[in-house]
Amino acid sequence: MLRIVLDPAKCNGCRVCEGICSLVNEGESNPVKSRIRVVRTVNDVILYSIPVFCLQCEKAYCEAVCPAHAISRNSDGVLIIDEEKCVGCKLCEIACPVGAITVNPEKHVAIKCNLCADFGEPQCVKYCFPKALQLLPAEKVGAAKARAKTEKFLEMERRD
Amino acid sequence: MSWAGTILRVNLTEGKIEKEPTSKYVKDYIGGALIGTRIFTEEVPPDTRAYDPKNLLMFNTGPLTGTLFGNRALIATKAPQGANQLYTFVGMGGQLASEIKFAGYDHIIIKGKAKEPVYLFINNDTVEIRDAKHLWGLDTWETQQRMKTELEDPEVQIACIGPAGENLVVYAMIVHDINNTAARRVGAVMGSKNLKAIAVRGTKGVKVADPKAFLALYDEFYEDITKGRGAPFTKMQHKEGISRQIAEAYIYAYGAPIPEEVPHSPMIDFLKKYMVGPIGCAFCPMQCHQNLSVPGIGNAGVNCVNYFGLIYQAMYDPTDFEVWWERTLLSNKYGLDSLAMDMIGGWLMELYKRGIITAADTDGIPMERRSRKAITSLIEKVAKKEGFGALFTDGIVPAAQKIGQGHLELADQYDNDFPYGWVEYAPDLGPVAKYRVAAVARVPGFADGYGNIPSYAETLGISPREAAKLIDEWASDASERITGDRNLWRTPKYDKRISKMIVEKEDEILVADISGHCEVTSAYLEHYGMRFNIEHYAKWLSAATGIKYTPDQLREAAHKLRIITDGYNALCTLVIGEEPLLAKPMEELASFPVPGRPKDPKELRKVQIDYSLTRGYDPETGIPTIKELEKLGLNYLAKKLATVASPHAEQSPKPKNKVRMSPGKSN
Repeated sequence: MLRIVLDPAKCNGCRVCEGICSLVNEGESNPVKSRIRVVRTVNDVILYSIPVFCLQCEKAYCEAVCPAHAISRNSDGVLIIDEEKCVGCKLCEIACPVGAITVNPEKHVAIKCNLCADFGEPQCVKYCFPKALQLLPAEKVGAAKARAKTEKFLEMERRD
Repeated sequence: MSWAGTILRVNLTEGKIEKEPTSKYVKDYIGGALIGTRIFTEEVPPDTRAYDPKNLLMFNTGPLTGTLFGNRALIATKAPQGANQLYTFVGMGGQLASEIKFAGYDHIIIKGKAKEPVYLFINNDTVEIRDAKHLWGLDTWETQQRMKTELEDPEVQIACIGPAGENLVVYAMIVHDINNTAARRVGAVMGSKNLKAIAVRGTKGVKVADPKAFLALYDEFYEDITKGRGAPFTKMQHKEGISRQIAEAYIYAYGAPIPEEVPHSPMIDFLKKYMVGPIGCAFCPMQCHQNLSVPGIGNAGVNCVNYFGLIYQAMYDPTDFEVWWERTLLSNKYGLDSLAMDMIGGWLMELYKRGIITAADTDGIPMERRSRKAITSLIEKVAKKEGFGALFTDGIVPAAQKIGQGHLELADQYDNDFPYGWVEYAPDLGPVAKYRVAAVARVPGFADGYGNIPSYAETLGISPREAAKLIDEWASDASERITGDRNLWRTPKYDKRISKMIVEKEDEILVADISGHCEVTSAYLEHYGMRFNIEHYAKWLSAATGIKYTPDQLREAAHKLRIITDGYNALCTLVIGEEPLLAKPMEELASFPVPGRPKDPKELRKVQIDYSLTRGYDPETGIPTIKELEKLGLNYLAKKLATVASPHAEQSPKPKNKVRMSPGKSN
């Protein structure tokens, strides 16, 4: 099972992931229809940007709360929305702990990341030049995070 | 398909908002700067002054804007500083242009003047002119923060002016986000309309006609600029931008000896210490601006152009980047073009050095070169129109009648403006140069590529000489592609094909301005490793719009944009009839040596004539011929020009400013 992992320090806020995601999934360039969203915040004239996307929770609130039973897991453990069943109630949007589900403003059905199930690999990862997004086996996610943190720590040590 | 479909017209005098379909212009003028320029030149009488409510302020986007291939807004208006109030369009990146498309508009055209300060709020179909009295006086960053809080939407994209634009300082700029500016000539026009800001939010998206083909084309583009020939340039952007090549241009000028090792660079030390990360425009992997945090001075975003001052008569020590940073930050905050500040500061400091002015002329602040106090007070006072700063509200030329005993010959200026973009190439163009302001005068050469030697050497882990060879290869590739001759780009003798190269390189930028793509990632910078030229644009536009474009159709569109702009500006020049003030001969202003242009003036003149004939201009006057305009279906312009200019009429310009023009005659 593969999962997208984020290293926020590497994200430069270019939003290519938003452009690609909405293009492959919706045939248009539109951040509000993208399954991944880059939250850009300016604080004291410094830009902070963090991409938000579905983490494929093991105990998924969205799945539990959906009154139409429109959310289920596929064979890779990825949470998928059945657009036929979805009633657009936005309960999943409210329940999601990271804000990774939204309701498509035109189709009025929930949209979320399905790891580009139809495209072989998540396109946001493929086109992330700074490598802030990576696709890793689920069991290695924690180890990779730990390693990234350690390297950051070592870098700081070296600088001192 | 990838047009939003609607042109938004806002009349601030009448408080009226109207919408019209873009489609009626699409067939003949495609989009972006070309549709904008077509509308502008038809609707604004050539004798209109920049601050006249009749002047339009336009935000133009192109059919690629808002897609993975584009993020540019072309901001167009008549500029206030030049003698003949020429029409100009300046590019601005960031998130704004895409948001305008997402809101459903291709162009925003602002006319008239509001009675009191207002801002324009656009939320998809809702367009409102709102009170901005409480925002008037705020700096550009504060304005945006306040508006985002008030509108309760952090995603809203804002372009605004600071105190400089409000005070009608001719060097005011429009600022968007923390790093994007329409820096030259447009801020004061926005101020003259009492328009503090525009705020845009859109959720409609930009549809492309053939998503599959579009993605395949993007894939080719992305692969090249991240892993292929363009990758060193992209990687360099994320470390240092193209700042080093500008800041150290003299060291790596074409033909200068190339060092064995990359020399130590104070600028890179500065960036390594203080750069927080790269920033840039929506959907562009390049992210060519930098976000810096300098303790004790402050945080801001910066792009390469801010370093241009280092080439000219800079007011700061070119190795003292802390002072440079303060000047950059203050300029952005107040919404002032930092290069114009370099021009003014450099001039005042020269006057001070020669004893022509004393501290008494500048509110008791000695204009000592490199003085931090002198630099910061200059910027603040010009922006706020206070003390001696108020002398410069209308520019350096009128100021020279009140300060410095008219010694304008000591200033690096062209037509009351910073000579950016002029100096390098304008002599290649001959008389037509007079009808161009810097932002649309760009004619790329290849020499500047050499400035990238140290950056590419470091990025690729090769020696500076190997990097130079690489740059040579790329420039030769471009030369071969356009002229069939690999060596033409550095031939110092006349050749018939030189003008062909100038025209094609011009067209490459203009096609970018029409489509909404940014020329930085196009073959305009082929000598930096970029490969995407008009052939590629034709494919991108075809996949996006569903209309089949050929490269030659795009060249014709670029030619139209060029000739309408030059023709209209010739018209403004003939009607207003002033002579632009060039204090120093062009050759005396700082410039990169340009390989591939004949050194002999007679031979250069032949290039100019070839250029004029290719474009369909009169080689003597530089004015587009009526025949060429009619051939392109531009009868509206041909008619206006025919009534004012006859090809044989002698134009006698009337310089009316009393300033010293020749260094020999001063004192």
